[in-house]
Amino acid sequence: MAENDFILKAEKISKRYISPAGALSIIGETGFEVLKGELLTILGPPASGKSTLLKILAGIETPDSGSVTYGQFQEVKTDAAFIPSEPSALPWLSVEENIRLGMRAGQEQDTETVRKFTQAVGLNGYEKHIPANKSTGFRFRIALARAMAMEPKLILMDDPLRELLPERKMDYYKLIRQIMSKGDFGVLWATTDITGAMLISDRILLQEQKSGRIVREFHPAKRSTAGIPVDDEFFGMRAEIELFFYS
Amino acid sequence: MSEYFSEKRKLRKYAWFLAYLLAYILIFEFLIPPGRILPGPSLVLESFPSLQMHYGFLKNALYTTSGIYLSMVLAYGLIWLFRVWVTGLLLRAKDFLESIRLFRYLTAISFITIYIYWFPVSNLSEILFTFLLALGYLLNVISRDLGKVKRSYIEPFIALKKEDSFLYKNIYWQSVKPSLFSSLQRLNIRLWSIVLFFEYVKAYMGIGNIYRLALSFNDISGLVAISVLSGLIIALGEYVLKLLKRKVITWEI
Repeated sequence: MAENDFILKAEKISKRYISPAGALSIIGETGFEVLKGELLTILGPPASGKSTLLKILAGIETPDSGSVTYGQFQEVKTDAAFIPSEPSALPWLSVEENIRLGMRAGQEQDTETVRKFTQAVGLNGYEKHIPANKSTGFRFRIALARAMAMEPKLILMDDPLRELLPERKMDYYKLIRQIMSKGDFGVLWATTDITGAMLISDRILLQEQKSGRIVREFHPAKRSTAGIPVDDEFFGMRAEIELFFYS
Repeated sequence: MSEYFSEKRKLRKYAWFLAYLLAYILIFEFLIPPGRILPGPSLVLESFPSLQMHYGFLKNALYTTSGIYLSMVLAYGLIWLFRVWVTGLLLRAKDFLESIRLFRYLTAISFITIYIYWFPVSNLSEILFTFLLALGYLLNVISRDLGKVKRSYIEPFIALKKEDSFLYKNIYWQSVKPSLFSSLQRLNIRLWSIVLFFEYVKAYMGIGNIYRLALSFNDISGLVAISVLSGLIIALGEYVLKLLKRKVITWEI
């Protein structure tokens, strides 16, 4: 792999919190790379440090040790856009204004670009709508469009779809793959959803709850235009991950 | 459905008000001899014109009302004008603000008497007093609510390395606006209570001063009439503030 093929390289990241009971290790020395155009999933049980890891990569929190490096590309791009686990669409702004707020200075007035992103996430016709009281899915679409409007190298998603019913999630998984096929950014998704991760990820990293370390790597089957084959291999891998989750 | 229940609740509220009014008329007009506890309604009605004749009610009401609402507008306007600095400062000065809250054990009378001792009696000194009260109250509300702003609104923009001033103006300020507008309604009632007390002690002008005069003349029907009229002004103020909130704030956090 060439040196500049990675979007993000995390090396020996660790984070501890001091609680009344003593120092609590959230992330034990962990490292990985996200490649260009890749959807990498960090899969782990609840409270295994996935959110903290993503926030460190986004620059929201600082690690106790280790380094985060974003790949250098020709184009001027934002390093990372972050979509938190709770809805982040601002309820006092319309869909259009939410997207503009994330755009680079000087580009906010570019109506064509806003239209391009609202269309990409299926919100065309809803530009003037206010996200207050809208569904989680609607607000996720806004967050996704805003993230894309920032022209990031990488979109970090902290399980923003976890509240959705499994059958509704599929529509959004398809949407994520669809927009990835049109853009040249990567996605790093932290989740507890094993099936979802196996259906849309290019690579899965398992994060252990106790140590907060990445302990295993899985490569789901190669995707075709028809989707991913749900066969014995799929169920075998799923059983292996479940065993890790619940052991 | 919820609108139906809220309409029903509103109707019940008005029905209770009418019941209180009816009870007051029955008890104090027909059952209890007038003037013992409260004046009869007919006496109160007769007092309304005399409020203007004997106490110059309109001029004093205008003095108090304009002072209160001008101060509220000035306090809000000043905070709005410097919202980026105010938000940044309040976020950084949490410990200092906590220490100021220790003064809450001092009652209104402490501040009022010391203030009157410092400043000579004038219209301006009363407006300044009301303005400081409104400003302090609103800053306290903002400071309290800044801690409740959702991280999920802020974090995407920290990841984008947006400047602090961007966050203060576009996220923090907008997030506290709904509760700030709700607090204006509470401020309305609190300001009225404290300012009337201030005017009572200061004995210069305003509705509070009329209360003092009416009490010194043992004018119980005058006192009730003043209470009814000032209550109506306060209720009208609250109604206008509610309307304003409905127009300006279309979201809840």
